[in-house]
Amino acid sequence: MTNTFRLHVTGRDGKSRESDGRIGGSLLEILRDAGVEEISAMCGGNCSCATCHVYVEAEGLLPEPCIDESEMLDTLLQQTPLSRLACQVTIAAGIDCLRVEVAPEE
Amino acid sequence: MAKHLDIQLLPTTADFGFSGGRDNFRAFCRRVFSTKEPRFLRTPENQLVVFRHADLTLFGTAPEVGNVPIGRMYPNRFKENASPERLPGWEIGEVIASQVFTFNPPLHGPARRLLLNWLGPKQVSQMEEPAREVAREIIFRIRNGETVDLVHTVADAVVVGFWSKLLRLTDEETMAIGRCAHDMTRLFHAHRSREDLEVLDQAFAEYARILDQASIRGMEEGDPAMLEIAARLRELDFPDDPQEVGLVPKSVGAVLAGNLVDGFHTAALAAANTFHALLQNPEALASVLAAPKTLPRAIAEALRLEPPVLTLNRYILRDFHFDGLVLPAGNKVVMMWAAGNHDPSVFPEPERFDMGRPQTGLTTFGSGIHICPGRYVGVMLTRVLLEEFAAQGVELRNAEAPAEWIPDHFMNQLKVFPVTVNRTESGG
Repeated sequence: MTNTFRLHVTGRDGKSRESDGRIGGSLLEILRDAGVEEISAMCGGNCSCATCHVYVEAEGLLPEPCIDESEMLDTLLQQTPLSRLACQVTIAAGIDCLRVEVAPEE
Repeated sequence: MAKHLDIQLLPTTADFGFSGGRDNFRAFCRRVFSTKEPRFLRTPENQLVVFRHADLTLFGTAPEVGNVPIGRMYPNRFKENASPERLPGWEIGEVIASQVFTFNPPLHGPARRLLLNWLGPKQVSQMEEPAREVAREIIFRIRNGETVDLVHTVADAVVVGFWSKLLRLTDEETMAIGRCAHDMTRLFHAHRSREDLEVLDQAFAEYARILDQASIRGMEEGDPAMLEIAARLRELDFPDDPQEVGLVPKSVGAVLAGNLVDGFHTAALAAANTFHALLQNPEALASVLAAPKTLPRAIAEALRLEPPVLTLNRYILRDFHFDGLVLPAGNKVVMMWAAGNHDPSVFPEPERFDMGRPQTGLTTFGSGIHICPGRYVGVMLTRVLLEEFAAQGVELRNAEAPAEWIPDHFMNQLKVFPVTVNRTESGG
């Protein structure tokens, strides 16, 4: 089993890029490590601002959002069924590929 | 071994020219950011002042750095066996005790979510139409060629009108709460006088009474927002702890009063300051009007230049260890959020209006878990105002008399901003 996974990121400008992400980290840290600078995460990754909103095609690979994350997502205008807060998503072993799109600014 | 941060040895903000207010804030930033030292400053009362962008982020996101608990803010009012005598500042304390900016975990998170459930982006988008109606009516009343004070005639009027419409205040209540909001400006004076406290106590008591009545009416009439706040309030089951965690608001009216101080007062600053920044940069204003999609970026940049809040206080809940230093629990810290926006290491040429610059890292609304929960309303009101001026074909230009900023103040607040109105034929 590898300790990395393949990350596909689409930015707000519509451009996509690929890189390897580290299993075990939060998606927010992984996106930052991948050089995605447009996520402000103003609360510092504490599920308090929803400025790390992303769309994740996870197909059951990720645990469901907890109540705090769900409530934050429910305040967002750009919420879709794929919505997640990157600060609340931990990438567990068993994931080998993830597609992430940075959500529009609210 | 961590070394105690010796605050008394630090230079003061006054050493770099800051005593409050926008004008000396600008001069302060030029001076303090011209070198890499000092890292921190202190107030004359020996409170640590955090002003560099990296440190604002570090402190803002650290769990050890909390809100100032109400009992530390008004120690005589909230101590055990406090005298029932209503000392100066009593009514302010009554209102502020229900404000989320005086809460810490475990109360802070659920109380904050209560507000976000009301003032989040999705909810605020549904408030846009009432805001537009208020803005439209106020702009419509301004005559062609007239010179008006944009602060009083436009920004204050729209903000007070908006909340009054949302909360279904009577005309009489709207007039009264407008006066209260005006008087609340004294809360941010660097040197509050006895008279300031008397005026503030009257204003806060009247303001709280109006909002309490509005909340009761709202619930009786089945207002979904009021009923939702009431339901969530019932779930906040925490013992009163004024010295650290905070006090659970005792009513929906208390929630509204505590948390709409910034709604009624500071949101108007956001609107006025944005207009000021844009009118100082006519090319930017013209380009925004030509491409309305750029409006959100323009507002963010305008508020970077002219953020409503200069400083806010925080409180060290637990010994805070960082970079080999320790700041002991119990210290109050002054977070100079506005300076983060003028730190040239993050925002090069900080006094230049540049809509193209990266906008991550703005400290306009603070950062960390205490970031302003009402920021979406303030920005929405500002955007709607700009859109309605454009829709009515109203052009603004600086009048002959200059704008004046309130000195010795912890807000970046215009006292007066005279603008001249020109109605073009293209307006609706």
